[in-house]
Amino acid sequence: MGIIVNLDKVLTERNMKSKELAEIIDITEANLSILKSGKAKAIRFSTLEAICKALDCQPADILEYSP
Amino acid sequence: MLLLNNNYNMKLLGPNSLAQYIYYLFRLISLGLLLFVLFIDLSFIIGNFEVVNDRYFMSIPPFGNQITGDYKFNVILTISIGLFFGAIFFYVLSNIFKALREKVIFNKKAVINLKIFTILNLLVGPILYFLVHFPIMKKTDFGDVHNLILHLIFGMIALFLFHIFKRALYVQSENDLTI
Repeated sequence: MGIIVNLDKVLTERNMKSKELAEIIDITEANLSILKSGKAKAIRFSTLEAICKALDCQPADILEYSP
Repeated sequence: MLLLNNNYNMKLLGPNSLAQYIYYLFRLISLGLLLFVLFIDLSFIIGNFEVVNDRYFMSIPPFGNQITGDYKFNVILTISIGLFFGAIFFYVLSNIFKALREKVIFNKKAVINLKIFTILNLLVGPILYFLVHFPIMKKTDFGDVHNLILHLIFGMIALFLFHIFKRALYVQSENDLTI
């Protein structure tokens, strides 16, 4: 399985919409969609930091390793 | 030195660049060669030529320039093959420059056309050379060998460019998917 992105789960918990998050962290909705769907090949530390700051969470809340 | 300068007015790649004008030029040459070979073959079929002392004389429009050669089937076949190959050569070459005028330089079209150009020069060119030279023209020496060497050089350069572009396309797609 590899790395699973739980961004949708955290967004629901925070009652925040994808569009809103995309605006806060200054990335396009399309890129956020790529990240949420797990199609992204990599994530920059700066993006991860921005997401964690916006959602007030830890990287482990967003990313999960599944063997 | 000017061409290496990023601030130079004339862009080499991308929209409205030198690549675009080279694309137009090569596409025009390709079309010209195709029309030329079609005209010659059609003229031979309908008899639009004169034969004097076993040599044909053909007027080429629009300026009426005359082409001449031995009136033999193998000569006509060699001319047709050569011109048709030239038309395809410039068509593929124009396609490479067409791909280089895109906003994203490392694209799939450039990779595919570089691959076709490699095959054309490393495989089709040499096969045609040997086919035309020995079975068709029945020559015993390696005349016009510079054509073969040129195709092999073009082919080797295209082969390396194909692999460089393939690798660059992979790196770029990885980069595009880095959020």
